[in-house]
Amino acid sequence: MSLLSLHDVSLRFGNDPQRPSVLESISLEVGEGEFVTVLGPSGCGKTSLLRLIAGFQESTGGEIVFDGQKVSGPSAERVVVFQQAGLYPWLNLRNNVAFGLKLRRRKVDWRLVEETIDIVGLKGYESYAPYELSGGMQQRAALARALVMSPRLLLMDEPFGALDALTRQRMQEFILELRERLDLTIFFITHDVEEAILLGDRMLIMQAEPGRVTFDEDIRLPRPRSEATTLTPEFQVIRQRALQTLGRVSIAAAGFTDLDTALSLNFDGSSSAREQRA
Amino acid sequence: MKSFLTSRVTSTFLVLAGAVVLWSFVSASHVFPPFAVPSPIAVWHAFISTWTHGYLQKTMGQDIVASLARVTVGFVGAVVLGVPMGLAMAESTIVHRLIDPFLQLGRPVPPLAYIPLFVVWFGLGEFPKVLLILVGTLPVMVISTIGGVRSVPAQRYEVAKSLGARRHQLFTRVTLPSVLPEIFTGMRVGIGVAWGTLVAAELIAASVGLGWLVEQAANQLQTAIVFAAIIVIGLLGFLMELTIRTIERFAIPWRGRA
Repeated sequence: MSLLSLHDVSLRFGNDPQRPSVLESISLEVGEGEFVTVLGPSGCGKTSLLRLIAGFQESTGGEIVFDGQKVSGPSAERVVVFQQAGLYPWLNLRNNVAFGLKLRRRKVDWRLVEETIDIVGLKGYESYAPYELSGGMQQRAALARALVMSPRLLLMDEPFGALDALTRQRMQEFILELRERLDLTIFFITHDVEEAILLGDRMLIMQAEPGRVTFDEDIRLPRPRSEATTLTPEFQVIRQRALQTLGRVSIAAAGFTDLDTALSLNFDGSSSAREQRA
Repeated sequence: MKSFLTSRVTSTFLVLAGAVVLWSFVSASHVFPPFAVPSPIAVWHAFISTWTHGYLQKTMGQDIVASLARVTVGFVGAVVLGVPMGLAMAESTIVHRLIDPFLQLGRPVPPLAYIPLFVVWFGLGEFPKVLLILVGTLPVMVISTIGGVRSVPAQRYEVAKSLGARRHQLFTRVTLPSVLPEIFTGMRVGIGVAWGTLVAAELIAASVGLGWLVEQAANQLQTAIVFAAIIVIGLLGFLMELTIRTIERFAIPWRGRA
């Protein structure tokens, strides 16, 4: 049995049937230990999908089952790492990482906290305030705060989206390393094609208006992977296919039929296509 | 940072010194009669004499102590009552609906308008004066606390929920620390309101205090004493604000940085 299953999940805001649903009949299964990346243009509903799985929001149709139980709210078994680290400024790094453990009645296992801080490479910074840490370090701290809970599923919503290119690359390498060391199930949202391919065991591509999954394939690149993997021909083939799929996605979203025009569009900013339509 | 601080202190000092020089010229030019614009030296003498010999049997020190005590008690009362009120109103719709109409109706009323009522109800003692300060400052504290709760970034709650926080934990571990900066802003605004209300209260019914001193001296055209008392009120208000700011720096070092 898979860890997470979505059956015909849909989401719409308001009662106007003219408005396209945010998400329409999404069904998928995520197995234990899988690293699933979700790629899509902005507005395709990928963050909404993650929020449904996290339990922040309820779907308007279908059901989400996690570990045999219907998802009805947030839980520390499905911890979210956001694009903004969102550390609490009144707590130092150590206490930020221990935040989730302190919410439980049990005594805080400080050794586990120290170990987790070490794992994300922040040993020596335990007493630093969040605003004394760089963006990349803050994001590592947010990751530690999630990892310390030993979640069954890690939900990551464009976690490196706010970082500069170099730091993002370092964080991608770091996640790859972490994956080799720890047994994690990850649902990872991004709008970066290369990131989606490099990190995932499996990649989903989403289409907008209405939001649905149009591509779902395993990425059979050998592990361990690293930045160098992006230079291999195999990687480039997958990248090309992803871009093509996204091209098709953009055509559909923009009402285009001409593939060349669509492929010339920036895959993320289908804005240029929207302008032409208007 | 250091040179910035120094230069700011220097510039403040220079501006004030310049104002005193200008003031001396204006008073020395006798464009206005001395009872309207006394010279800085006359004001200094008035201060010293009020400090050592007193005015109408009350020394400046007694006036300061009386006024400081009233302001402090009224202001602290407003904080102690206003913050929980604001929190309760922000957390509960029912509480908000119960209290908000009074808050909205009471807010535009100048505290001075309550004085006759308070005198009728509570007499001329300390209680009505302190209560007046409390009533004047309370809305500031309530409103800034509510504003603080409303402006907590949604993500702070989602992070906590995702880590398994229950409802009461969201309040104690996210709302309370998050709202601190706005409470301090409210306190800094509130201390000014408190002083304003105090002087108004002492104008009517008092026998000691800086507001009372201003009123009595003005009645006898002792303008130099009026000037001295006004400057002392300004300095005390400024010092109290400075104290709050210093506490703030230790209590919420993350302000403006996160």
